[in-house]
Amino acid sequence: MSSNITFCDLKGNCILSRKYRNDPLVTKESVDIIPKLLLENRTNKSSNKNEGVHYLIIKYNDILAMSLCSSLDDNKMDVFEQFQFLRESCEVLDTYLHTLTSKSLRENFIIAYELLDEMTDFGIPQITDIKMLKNYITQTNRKILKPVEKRKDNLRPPEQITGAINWRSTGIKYKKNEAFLDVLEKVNMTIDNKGHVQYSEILGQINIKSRLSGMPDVKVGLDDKGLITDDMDFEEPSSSPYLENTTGMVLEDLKFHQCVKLSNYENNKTITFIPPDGEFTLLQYKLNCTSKMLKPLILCDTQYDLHEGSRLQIIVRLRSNYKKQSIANNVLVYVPVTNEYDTPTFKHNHGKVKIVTDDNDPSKSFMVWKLKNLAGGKDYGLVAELQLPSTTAQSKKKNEYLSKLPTRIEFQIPYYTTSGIQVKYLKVNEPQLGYKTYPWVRYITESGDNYVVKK
Amino acid sequence: MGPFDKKLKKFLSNSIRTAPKVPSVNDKLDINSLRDYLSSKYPQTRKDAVRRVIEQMTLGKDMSILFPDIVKNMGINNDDIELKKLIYLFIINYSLVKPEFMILVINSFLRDTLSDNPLVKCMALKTMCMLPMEMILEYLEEPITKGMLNENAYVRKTSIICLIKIYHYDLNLFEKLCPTFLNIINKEDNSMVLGNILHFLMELDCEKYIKMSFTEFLNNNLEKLINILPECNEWSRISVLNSLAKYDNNKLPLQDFQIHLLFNKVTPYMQHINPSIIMSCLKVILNLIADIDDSFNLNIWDKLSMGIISITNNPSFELQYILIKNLKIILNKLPKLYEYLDLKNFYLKLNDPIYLKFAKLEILDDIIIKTFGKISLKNIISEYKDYCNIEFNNEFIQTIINKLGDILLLLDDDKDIQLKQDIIQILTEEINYQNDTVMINLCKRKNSDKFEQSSVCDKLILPWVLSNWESLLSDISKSYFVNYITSVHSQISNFNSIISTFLENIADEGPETQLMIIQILIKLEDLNTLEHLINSNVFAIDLKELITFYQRLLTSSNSKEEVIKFLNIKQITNDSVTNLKDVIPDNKLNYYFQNLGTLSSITYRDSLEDIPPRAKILYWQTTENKEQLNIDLMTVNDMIQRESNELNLLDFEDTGNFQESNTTGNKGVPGKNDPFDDLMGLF
Repeated sequence: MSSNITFCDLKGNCILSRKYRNDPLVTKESVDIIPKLLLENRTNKSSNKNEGVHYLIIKYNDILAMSLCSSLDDNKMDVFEQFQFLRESCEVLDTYLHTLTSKSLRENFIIAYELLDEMTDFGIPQITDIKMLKNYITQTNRKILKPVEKRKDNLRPPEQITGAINWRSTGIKYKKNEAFLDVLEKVNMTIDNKGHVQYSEILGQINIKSRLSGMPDVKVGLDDKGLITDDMDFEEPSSSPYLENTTGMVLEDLKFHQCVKLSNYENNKTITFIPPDGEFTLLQYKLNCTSKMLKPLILCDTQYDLHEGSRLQIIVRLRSNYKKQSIANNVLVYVPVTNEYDTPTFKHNHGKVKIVTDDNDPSKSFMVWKLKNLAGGKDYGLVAELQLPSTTAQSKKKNEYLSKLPTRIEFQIPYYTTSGIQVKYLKVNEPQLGYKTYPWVRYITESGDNYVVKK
Repeated sequence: MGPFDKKLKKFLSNSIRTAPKVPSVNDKLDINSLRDYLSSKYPQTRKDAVRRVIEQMTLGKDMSILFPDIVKNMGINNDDIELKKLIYLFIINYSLVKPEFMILVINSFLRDTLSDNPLVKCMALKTMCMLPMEMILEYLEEPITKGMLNENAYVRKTSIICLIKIYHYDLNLFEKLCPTFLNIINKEDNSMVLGNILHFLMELDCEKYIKMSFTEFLNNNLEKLINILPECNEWSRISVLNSLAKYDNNKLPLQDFQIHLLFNKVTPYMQHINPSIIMSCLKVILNLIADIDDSFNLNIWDKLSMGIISITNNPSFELQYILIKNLKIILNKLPKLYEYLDLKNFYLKLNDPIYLKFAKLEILDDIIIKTFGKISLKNIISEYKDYCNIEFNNEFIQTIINKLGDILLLLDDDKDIQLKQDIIQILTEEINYQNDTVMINLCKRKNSDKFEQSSVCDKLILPWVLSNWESLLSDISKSYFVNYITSVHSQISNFNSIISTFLENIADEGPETQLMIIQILIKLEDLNTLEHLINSNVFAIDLKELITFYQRLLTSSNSKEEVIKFLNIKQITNDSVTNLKDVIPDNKLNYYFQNLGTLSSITYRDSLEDIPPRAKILYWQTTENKEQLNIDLMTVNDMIQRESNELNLLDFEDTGNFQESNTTGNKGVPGKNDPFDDLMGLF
C-alpha cells in the first residue's frame, strides 16, 4: 500500500505522479524534492528517506519508478510487494509503450495513468497480467483517429480477471495448434588464471510460446536425470537442502510461472499447467556445479603488461573448449582498460577490436574484441598496444587496479545445453476440442552476466 | 455483397475524415478556440480537443477555465469509455481548485454508477472516491452498498477498495456501510475480492468494527483461505499469505492438524516466480515456527533455506538487499537456520551495487561467527582477497581488511596456522595501500596475549610492521602499532629508538597514541620517562583528566614503583572483533521478527521512533490526537530554539547501519574508560 506512485527521469524530475492516499506526510513537496534527494544520496539509490517519507526506487531504462509511503506505516508496508509491483508495472508499461523511456512516457501519459489506475487501486496492487489488461485497456496514441462508433460498449473487464484461471481468456482459437519451447541456459563461471573453474552456475529457463486453442491442459516431460522432475520413482526428500544427482550438478533454485499447478509438482514432481496465450517463462532453475565436471566453455588468457614509460601491452588468447560441431555466435571479450590512452594498435587474425570508453564512469571502459562466430576447438590471439599519455602516480595506480580486473566474455551457443537438460515430451490435452499439437523445441546456451576469467 | 458493401462504406467513411482536426499540441492554441473545438458537432473533434486540454494540463497550464465545457462532453456520448477516462482525469485534477464545479458532475457520476458495464461503473466509483471527500460523501452510500453486493466480482472488488478510502476519510459514513461489509466478508469466495478484503482488515480496527479480532476472523475462515490460494492472482495471493502471517497463535492456538495443513498448502508457493510470494510464504512459516511439531517431518528448515536462496538469486538488487537485511533478523531469532544456509550463496558478485555488498558482508560475518570452526574458512579468505582486487571503493576495502583482521584474531594459533599465514600474506603483500587499516588489523591482540611467546605469525608480521610504521597517518593505527611492538619488544632490536621517536613527537600525536604511549611506559615500568612525560603539557584535551589523575597518584604516593605495578594490573587491550558483533538489540528483535518484509525490519527501527517531530505533528493533526500533538509540538519548539537556523535536523540515513559497523573497527577506543573505572573503584 503506497501513498503515491511516481515516475521520474534520471534526474528526478517528475513525469507522472499518482497520489493514492491522503497521507499528511506524503505531499506534493515530497515529490518535488526528489531531484535534491537523489543528488544527496548516492550510495544507496534504492531506498531513501526524508521528512518521514520513504522513497522506494527502482531504475528501469532511463526511468526511476518510485513508491512513496509514510514512515508511520513502517510496520504495515510490505516492501517486497512494493518493489515487485514497481518492477512489474514497469514491465507492463514497457509492453504498452513499446519501450518505456522518459520520452515515451511523456508522450503517452494518458495510457500510463489509465494502466496505473487499473494495476493498483488505493496503493494496493491489483492486476499486472499484461494479457488480461490488454483485453480492456486499449487506448493507444496511434489510434486516435479510430471512429468512436466502432467500440461502443464492448470494453468490459473480462470475467477471468477475477476468476480462478486469471491468466487466460476463454474462446481462443488457432487454425494450427503449436507450441514453441526454448530451453535457454545462461552460464556464469569464474575461471582462474590457470584455466580451472573456481565457481560455476547455470541459470536456465524454459520459455514457451503457446498458440493453442481452448483451455488446454499441458504436461511437460523433461529428460533431466532427476534434477527437476522425477518421473521414475518417488524418493523421500533427502536431508540436505539440495537435490544432488549423478551429474555433479545441484539444483539450487526452481521457480515456476503462476500457471503451473504447484501442488502437483510438490506431490509427484510433474509439471502440469494451463498455459497463458502467447509467450511466457514456464520455469527458471539454477544449477550449481559443485564438482569439476563442467569444463570452461571458452577460455581466455589475458596478459597485461604495463611497461615503464607509457606503453601498455595486452595479449589475449582465446580458446574454445566445446565440441567441433558447435559454433558460438557473437563472442565478445571485454578487457578492462583505462579511458586515457593514445594511438592504439591491434594485431589479430579474427574478428574486430575496438575500445569503448565511458567518460562518466571510468570503470566501464573496455577493450572489446568481437568475433561473429567461434567454432569449437579453435585458438585465436590478439595483441594490443596502447600509448598512455600521462604517467602520474594516480593513473599508474589506476592501471594497476585495472590490470587485476577479470576479463568478461559474452557468447551464444545454439543447439546446445550445458546441463544436458532436454525436453522429452509435451502432452496437450484439450478435453473439448481434442486437437493435435506440434511442439517445437530449441536449445541455447548463453553467457550470463558473470562469465569471467581472472588474470 | 451486402455486408461487404457495408464494410467498404464504413471503411471509406472512416478513412475520409470529415471532422475538423484539432491542431497538435505544439501549435499555439488559445483557450477560446479550444472551447470551440470542445463544443464542435463532431464527436471526434471534441474528443481530440479534450485530449489536447489534458495534455496542456499535464504540462502545467491552467485549464480550469474550461471546466464547464469539458463537463458538457460528459453527458453527450455515454458510450465512449476513452472520452470518459479523459474527462475523469481532468475532473480529478481540478477538483481541489474548483470545488464549486463539482455539483455539475455529480449527476453524471451517479448515472455512470448505474451503468451495467462494470468498467464504467467502477470507473465512476473510483473517480468519485478520488474527489475531495466532503463534497460527495452524501452521494456515496448507495452506490457503494450496491457495489458490494453486485454479482460481478470486479465491481465488488472496486467497491471494497472504495470502502477502504471511506474508512480513511469519514468514519461516520463507514459505520453506516459497515453492516453490509460484515455481511459479505464471511460469504465472499472470489479470490480477488477476498484479497482486497484481507488487505482492508489488516488496516482496520477489527475489534471495533467487525466485532472480532483479525486472528479470529482468520481462524473462522482458515480453510477457505487455504483453499483459495491456487485460484488467486499474484497480488491477492500475497494478501492472503500476508494476513495468514499475521495470525496470532498465542491468542488462539491452531490445532496441530491445522498447522500441518497450512504448511503443506503454503510451502509449494515457495517455488513461485514472484519473489514477494516467496517472502510472504516465508513469513507465514516463520510466524508459526515456534509451534511446529517437528514430528510431522515437514523438512521445514530445508524449505525455508530453499526459499531464502531463491530470493538471493533474484535479479533485483533491491529485493536481495531487503532479504539480506531481513535474514539478519531471522538468523538472530532462529540460529538453527545457520546449519542450512550455504555461505556460497552470499558471496559478493562483481556487479552488485555497493549497498548490497555491505549487506552481504554483514551476513557473511554472522555466519562465520556463528558457525565458527564448523566450516572451512579457506574459501572465504580467498573470496575476501578477490574482493580487495575488484572493488575500487576505499571504504569497502577497509571493511574487508577489518574482516580479515577479525578472522585472524579468531583463528587458533595451532590448528589454523596455515590460514593465519594466508591472511597475513594477503594483508602484507596483496594490499599495497591502506597501510593504516592493515596495520590496525595486523596489530590486533587478544586480551590474553600480554607478553606472548613469539609465534610464527609474529615473524611474518614484524618485518612488515617495522618497515611500514613510518608511513602511518591515522592516530588509531599508530596506537595499535605502539601497543603491538611493546608486546613483542624483546624481538625488536631498535625498539627503544622507535619509542623515543614517538616520545619526541608526542605533542603532535593524537589522543589515542598519546594514551597508548603512557600505557606502554606503565607497562614497561619506565618510571622516569613516565613522570617526565606526564608533567609535560602536551596532551590532548580528551586526556587531561586522566593525566591529572596520574600526576596526583604519582606525587601523593610514597612508593612510585608500587603505583606503577598497581597501574599495571589492568592493561589496555585492543578489544577484539568489534566488527563482528550483533547490532540488533534483543528487545527489538521480536518486533522486527513479527514485521519481516516491512520497512521497519530493513531500517531496523520501530514505527514511531525516529520520525521527524514535524512530520509527526502533521500526522497527529489529521488524526486529531491532541495529546501526542502537544508532546511533539514541544519537542519541535525545543529543537527550533536550540538550532534556529538549521531546519533540516532530521537526517538519518538508511546507510547508517553499515557505516556504523565500518567505523567501529577504527574507532574502537582502546578501553579508554576501563583503567580509569577500575581505579575509581579503589578510592
